[in-house]
Amino acid sequence: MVSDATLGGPTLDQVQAKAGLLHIEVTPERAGPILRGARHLRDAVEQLNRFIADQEPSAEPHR
Amino acid sequence: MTVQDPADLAIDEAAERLRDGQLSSVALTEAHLDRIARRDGDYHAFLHVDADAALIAAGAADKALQQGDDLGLLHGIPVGIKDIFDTAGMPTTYGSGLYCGHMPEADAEIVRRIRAGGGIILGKLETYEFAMVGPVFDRPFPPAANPWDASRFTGGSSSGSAAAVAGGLVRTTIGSDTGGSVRSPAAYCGVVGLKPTYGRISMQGAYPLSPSMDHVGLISASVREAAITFDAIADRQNERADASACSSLGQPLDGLRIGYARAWFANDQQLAPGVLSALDDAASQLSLLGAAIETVALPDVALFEAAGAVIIHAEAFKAHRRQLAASGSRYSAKVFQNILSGLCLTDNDLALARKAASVLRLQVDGTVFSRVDALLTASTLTTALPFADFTGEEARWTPMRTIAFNVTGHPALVVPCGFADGLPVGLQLVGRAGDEATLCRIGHCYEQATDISTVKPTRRCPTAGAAASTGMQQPGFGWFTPLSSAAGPT
Repeated sequence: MVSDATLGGPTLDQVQAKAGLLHIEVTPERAGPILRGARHLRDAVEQLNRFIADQEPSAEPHR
Repeated sequence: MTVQDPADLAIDEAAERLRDGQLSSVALTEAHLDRIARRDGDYHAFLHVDADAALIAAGAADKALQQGDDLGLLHGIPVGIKDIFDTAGMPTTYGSGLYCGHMPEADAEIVRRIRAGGGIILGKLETYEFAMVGPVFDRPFPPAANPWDASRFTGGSSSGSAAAVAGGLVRTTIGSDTGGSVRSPAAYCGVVGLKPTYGRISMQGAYPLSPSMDHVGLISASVREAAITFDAIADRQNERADASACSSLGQPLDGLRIGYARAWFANDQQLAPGVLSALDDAASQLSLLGAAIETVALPDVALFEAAGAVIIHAEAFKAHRRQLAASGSRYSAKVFQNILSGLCLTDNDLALARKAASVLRLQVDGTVFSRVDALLTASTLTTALPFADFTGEEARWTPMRTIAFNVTGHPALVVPCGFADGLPVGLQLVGRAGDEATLCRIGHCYEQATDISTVKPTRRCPTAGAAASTGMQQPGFGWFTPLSSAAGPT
């Protein structure tokens, strides 16, 4: 299982807290792949932000 | 004289015999049921076969034809349905142990259309759980196996649809395609897969994965059969529905311009060399057939994949959020993990991805379809991988060039174009929105000019011991666990 400290995206605590609010249990065994998936998705969002910013040079990046 | 098994008749040949009285729908349906009984223990393509209901429907189809009541292109023709579509009176699991024993009260729109057109529904075909990710080995039933080599996966999520057609169990099937779920299994299994234009066929009554990206699709034994099936089920009220696919078949390719997006996949380090040579050969063949081939550039594939991943995960998480809370432990581990990773996305992220998708669609239309009539590119970048490659704790994504056209909504057709190491390779044709007819025209012409589609898999199925040697020793794999004995509905 990957350490959440190595990831650029959300931390394990953040994932568990958000899942907890939705009453979804995230066991430690399942947390690693979820965190890695979340990191890839956050990277994808950043890539799309840059893409859209390039299309609209005068616009602020979408946040 | 050898008598041809009716299960080997193309659906247009069978339709002709049904109408001239040489064949009955009951006999045709019995031939397919017999084929399923003899072979599907190895392929696991069907999760449920309803022989009684199929034979009753076939009898009604025969009677209708005798009375001069012809319901259309699929009248009396057996069809398989991906188990992501609600089917009244048949178990519908959505590929999940959560829904074992679930019996919908109403048909999905696509099922309703097939029944209304006289089609004979044989049963429900295996799908990745909720059409999300696979193959996985922690469900109460096994993943479908590739008829070319049953120790290999089929691709997915329309796994059973492709396995059933490649294995000769049925000639045409319904699937769904959110990121390549019809096209990749078609390519890996050496059959034809069509993802129509976004919205061309209603998804009503399917378990939603990502409504912005979900498409009804179909997998068939040949381009002609795909065209027939498409014409039978496509939305005739849609303004974009111009020429019928069947009417385009047989037209030569002279005057057509086809853009070959070679650089879009040829430099990918995961590309198998045999796939590139098969695509290059196909481009040459299309040129010989009269099409003008030119290379074209597409936007960075990573942008399509980023937009597609964000949209799918954001929408899938919304669709599954409550069920994950109530029954998360009953999901396959990889599917649970994959869907739950979408909890990191916000509504603003989803809006951003949809905006990017819109820009990419405009770019493809502006830079590609202003110059050419269709696009040629790869579908999958490898041949079918062994099941053993999927036994790790995380989902594995195989390299493909399919999700781009879920993002843009353009229609896309996969046609077998060769073999690499004895396994099928499929080319992908992409067309203007609403122009499935041109794709079928090109695909059919190519298919007729080559003998690739005439090569069928020989039956090389592993024994239970061989399956176990791949590392898959979960109970139920390789020896089907009847759904009726699995967990009850939720």
